[in-house]
Amino acid sequence: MIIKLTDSKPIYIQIAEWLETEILSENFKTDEKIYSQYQLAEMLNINPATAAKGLNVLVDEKILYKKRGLGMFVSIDAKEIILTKRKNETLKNMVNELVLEAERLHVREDELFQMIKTTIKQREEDV
Amino acid sequence: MYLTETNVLETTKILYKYKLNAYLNALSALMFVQILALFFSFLGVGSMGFGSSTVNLQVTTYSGSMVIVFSLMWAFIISITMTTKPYRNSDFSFVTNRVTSHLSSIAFLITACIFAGVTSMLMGLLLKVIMYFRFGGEIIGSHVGVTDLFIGISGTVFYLILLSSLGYFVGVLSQLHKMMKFILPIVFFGLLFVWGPNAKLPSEIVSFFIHESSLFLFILKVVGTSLLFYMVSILISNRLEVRQ
Amino acid sequence: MNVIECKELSKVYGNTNAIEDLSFTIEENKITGLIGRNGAGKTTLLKILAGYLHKSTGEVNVLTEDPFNSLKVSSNMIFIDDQMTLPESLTLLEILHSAKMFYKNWDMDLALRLFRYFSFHDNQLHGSLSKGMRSTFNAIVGLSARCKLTILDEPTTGMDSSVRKDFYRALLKEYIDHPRTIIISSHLLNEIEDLLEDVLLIKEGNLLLHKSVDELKEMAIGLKGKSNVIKEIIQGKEVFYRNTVGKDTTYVAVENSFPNELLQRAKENGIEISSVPTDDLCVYLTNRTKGGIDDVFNRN
Repeated sequence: MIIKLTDSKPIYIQIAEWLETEILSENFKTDEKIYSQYQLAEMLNINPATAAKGLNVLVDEKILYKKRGLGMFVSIDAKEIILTKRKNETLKNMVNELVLEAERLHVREDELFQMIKTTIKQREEDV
Repeated sequence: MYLTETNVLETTKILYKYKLNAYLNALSALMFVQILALFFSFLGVGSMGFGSSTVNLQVTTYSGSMVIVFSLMWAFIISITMTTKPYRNSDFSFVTNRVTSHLSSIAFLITACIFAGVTSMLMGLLLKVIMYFRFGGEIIGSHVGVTDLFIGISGTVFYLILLSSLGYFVGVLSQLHKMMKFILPIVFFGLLFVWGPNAKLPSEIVSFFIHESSLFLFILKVVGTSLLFYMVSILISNRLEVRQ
Repeated sequence: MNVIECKELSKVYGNTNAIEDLSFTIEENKITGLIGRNGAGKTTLLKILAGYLHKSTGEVNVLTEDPFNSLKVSSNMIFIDDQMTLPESLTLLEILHSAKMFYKNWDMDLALRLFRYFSFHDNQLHGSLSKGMRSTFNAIVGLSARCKLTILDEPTTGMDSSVRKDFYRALLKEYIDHPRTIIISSHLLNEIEDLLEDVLLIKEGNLLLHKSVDELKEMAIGLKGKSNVIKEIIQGKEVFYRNTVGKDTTYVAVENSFPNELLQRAKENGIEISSVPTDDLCVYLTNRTKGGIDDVFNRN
């Protein structure tokens, strides 16, 4: 299953994050209709109200828009919004963690930079 | 889902149908009891003999009343059974309230009594037929007309209903409190003891029904008494909890 | 519309309170989990809602009526548990046909498909079923009745894990296709929490909380770190659980009402932050004493 229901994050947040990833990887394109709350509930074996909550998170963030009686669709700026959000929140948090852990392990600044650079280089070579 | 509507009559009818299906085994118990009674009847209910040097007379009386007595006991016991927990709870597995549960049980019991009344009269006839083939010859007092049969059946049915309503009442009483199962027999045998063998009241109660010569008045008495027993049963148990 | 309304509802047996001053409402078409330990009063509450038992004091309304002796409630409600009494003489198939007479929304097609799927035989008797099979059969009756209010009291008692999974999935699909108000009681939350919208948690007959599952997931936060640091952070907060590990490490589950900056700072001070699984939280909340089993062995 794509979503780990055992994860301690609230399920609706997991759903929102999963749909964001689906949009980023272009499984859903602009103005395309996304899953309904019932489809999600059925797919993921969860309460439809929880699924609706997940969708509403994305509507609130303007990643999805509602058409009355038709369902929810991917907005034009969806990818943009998700990317900015992930940069600002997720990545920032991760960097924060990284710096903290480095401090705990007494890794110096330039050492840390070096590690990041190495990782990037390796990725480039792999691709 | 949408709300559904129902009423007492409709629910009672469904429960009645359900009980006819589910408690058919009560009728097989009846048949068993009646056949058993028939066997006992073969032994004869009374016998006497005269003898002299020339004539030897042996009289044995055979009667179908044994079947009726057994059926009456059956009606009493099956009515008590219907008030016990498993039977009550099984109504509440589906749609019912206390009133519809009682009404459908009573309707079922009356149906069973009618069936029992008819079969016990037929058993009586069967006894006569068997006796005829066993001994041959003339059977005294064996002629039964349609009117007699009808009166016989309705009399039996109403006696059965009377016993059934009494059983139902006793059954409901004993459901009211755990202690009742001990109190009721003590009170019953206690009264027998206090009244003694020559007490008037019990025999008066019995003769109130038995010595009624008019069929119409008899029916009226029975219907009145049964109705009273059934209604009091419903009233005193309408607040009873189920599936505790 | 509220399908269930309870106001200061109590039930007294002799001189013990089975349930005490319960006040809550359950809205239409929600799946609510009634969670509590054995003997917390779950079954008593459900049986009052079903109209089987009297309330002692307070108010109870189901479909806007007092359920005791209400035909309206009885015909729009089905109560399923493993104690369901059914006539001994009827075969399983006959029981399904009987149920059909009683419930106007009954779906025979669904009942039969589930009946075959779980490999029941037409002529089996209810009394001869194993515990798990009986629960499964009762559950089939409960789902197929399509009652406005479906009460399932520990419906999976005795079912093996694959049947449980199938049952929960069937329940969800039925609910999606034909929304209705469902109450499931259980002493375990984790198995059913994904299905639920709301949780009603009771302890010793008292209502502890009535929240959505998501709120419950965010209600508490777990902090682990140096005992003195933890002690400082959790001042004035409600602590649900506390456990000291090793020399100087404390884990607490505490109400989640910290501002983000504070958590950030705590993290920088070496405090591990985690979420508290709802299941654990329920155990903490319903524990009879603050400590737990260890206290029994602590004699000093």
